[in-house]
Amino acid sequence: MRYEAVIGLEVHAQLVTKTKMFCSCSAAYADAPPNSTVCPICLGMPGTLPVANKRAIDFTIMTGLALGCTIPEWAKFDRKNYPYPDLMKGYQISQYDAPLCINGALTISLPDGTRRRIGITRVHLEEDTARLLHRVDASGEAHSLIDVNRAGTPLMEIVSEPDLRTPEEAKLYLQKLRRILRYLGVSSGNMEEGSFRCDANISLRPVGETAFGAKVEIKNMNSFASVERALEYEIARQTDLLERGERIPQETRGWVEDKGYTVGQRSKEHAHDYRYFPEPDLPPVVIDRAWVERLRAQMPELPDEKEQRYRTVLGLSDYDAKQLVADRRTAEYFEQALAASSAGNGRAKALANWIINDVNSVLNARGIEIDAFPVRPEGLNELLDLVDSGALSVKIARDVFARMVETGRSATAIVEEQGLRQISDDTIVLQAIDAAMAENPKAVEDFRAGKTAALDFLFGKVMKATRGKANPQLTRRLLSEKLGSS
Amino acid sequence: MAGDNKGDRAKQNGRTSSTIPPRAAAGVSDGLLDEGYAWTDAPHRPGAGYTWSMSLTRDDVLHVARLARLGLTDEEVERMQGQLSLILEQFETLRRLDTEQVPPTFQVFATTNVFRDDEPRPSFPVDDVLQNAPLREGDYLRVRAVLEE
Ligand SMILES: [Zn+2]
Repeated sequence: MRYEAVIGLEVHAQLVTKTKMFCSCSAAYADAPPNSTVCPICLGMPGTLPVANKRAIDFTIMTGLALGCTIPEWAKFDRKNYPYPDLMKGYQISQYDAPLCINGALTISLPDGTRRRIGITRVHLEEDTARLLHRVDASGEAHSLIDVNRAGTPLMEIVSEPDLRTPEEAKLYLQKLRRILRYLGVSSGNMEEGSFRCDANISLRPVGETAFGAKVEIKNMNSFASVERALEYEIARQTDLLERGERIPQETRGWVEDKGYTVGQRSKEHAHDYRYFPEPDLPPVVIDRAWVERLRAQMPELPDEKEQRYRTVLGLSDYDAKQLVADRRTAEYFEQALAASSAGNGRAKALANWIINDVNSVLNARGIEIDAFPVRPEGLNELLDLVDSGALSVKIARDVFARMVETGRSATAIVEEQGLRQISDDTIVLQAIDAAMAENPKAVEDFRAGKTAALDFLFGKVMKATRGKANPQLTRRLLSEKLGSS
Repeated sequence: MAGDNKGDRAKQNGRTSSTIPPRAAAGVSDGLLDEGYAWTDAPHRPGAGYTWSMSLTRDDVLHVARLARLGLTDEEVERMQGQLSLILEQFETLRRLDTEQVPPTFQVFATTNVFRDDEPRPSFPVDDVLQNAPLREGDYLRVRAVLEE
């Protein structure tokens, strides 16, 4: 029997606010000494009053809008109760039945061009937990240390419908979702650092069946690759069980990265008895339409719209448009260079080529982001000005570019300093041609005898004599004239 | 260390309303919530985990005590069984009222939209933060081993 996987994803994204969700402590916990960004509110002391961070709510609503969600007229916060030492209060403030965003969708494009619409159930806001460090002391006693810094920092949860069918779709969904969050500037989306976390729900059912099978939740996946691998593993494991006529128990399994398998987690007793109830300390959030529209107006152009504009307005190929929008900062770099271009949108294709090939290969080689790239957009544009004006051949422009990357100096400065300016003066080029012909009479004869390849040979000699600076089109034209005329 | 964090006190940012909008106004349908959230799965909802019109069982009491991390003696379990059942009976009486047209009360205060601007303020010194910790190790709170999830 053939089975199909039914996959839903829950993503937790840390928001890039300056402060925590319900108090004014700094949210920058990553480099802070332990327990240094803590106050009575995020410590859960009795008698304190949480107050919601406006920016975190704005970010969440914006995310909902980007995902085509409905933004309800009002939302509220609820307490989710469970006893665990990473929760200072014994409960987490979350949102239960009145989240900030509901009923959205995200469309992914598969490599074969198929587009799949993945429903978004909800986007809501909650607070992150404290960090636990597990230690064993000198006497061999295992214990845990708590750093409260992360507790109370804003966490946005994005829940998909069980609309995904393959591990590849899951990966594409996550990549696209992360790209949207990065474009919005609401989350760094860094999976390895835990600012973008993903849990997956997966069940199998015979192809054609509409009912769902028993749902297995997978945790502990900390890269896109591990999500894909964990789901592949789980499909194989469940298929095997089903084929042997066994039942699949509903459970939570942890992905073990270095071993490449999932393992059942000891189910916490009563783990799902969260006893949600409305958070009495936080008044409901009433979201009037003016607020929603204000946020909508602040939203940047999103990757899909951008990609389409690159194709239709700038005339870029599908491939080029996709490559440029894949990373928000690359798209920004491209647009800044284009804005500086004296040739206007006519330079879009050339800039796209330079960025996708030359810039990206340096980024890959050096392992840096485009923000740290030594040649700024204006500088790249200046280099292309020199090419378009005929001052540089594309070949020499590549050498100049390499020097720019190395030295951080401008294209013009490097060209002047090294005398690289292209020779477009007829007289000088003709001198070089005459010299080449005088030194290679055999080639001249060959050409006149019908061996056209001899022209390329002489062309090479001229270029060599001018250290590649002779304008190639001009050289070729003058050389043909010269060989044909005498 | 009752904190003087009055700066976090509400800045009234929005309009106030005396009625909190009903659940339906949020566009939240019962079909919206996935399994983890569904009312029907939540044992604290009427009709799900507990039997309303009958007395609580001994197991119900032990379950609730466990969730609250309370150790009860046999005598206390019996007493709580009676007292908690009585409370539920009162709710059973209330439940007979027709509340179809009454919006649920999530909050007893008529305020909405109390927010802070995203401006950091100093946190507390680590010694104050750890003042009530039963055990301290360096600048961390120390607790008994917690099982890795
Ligand atoms: Zn705090």
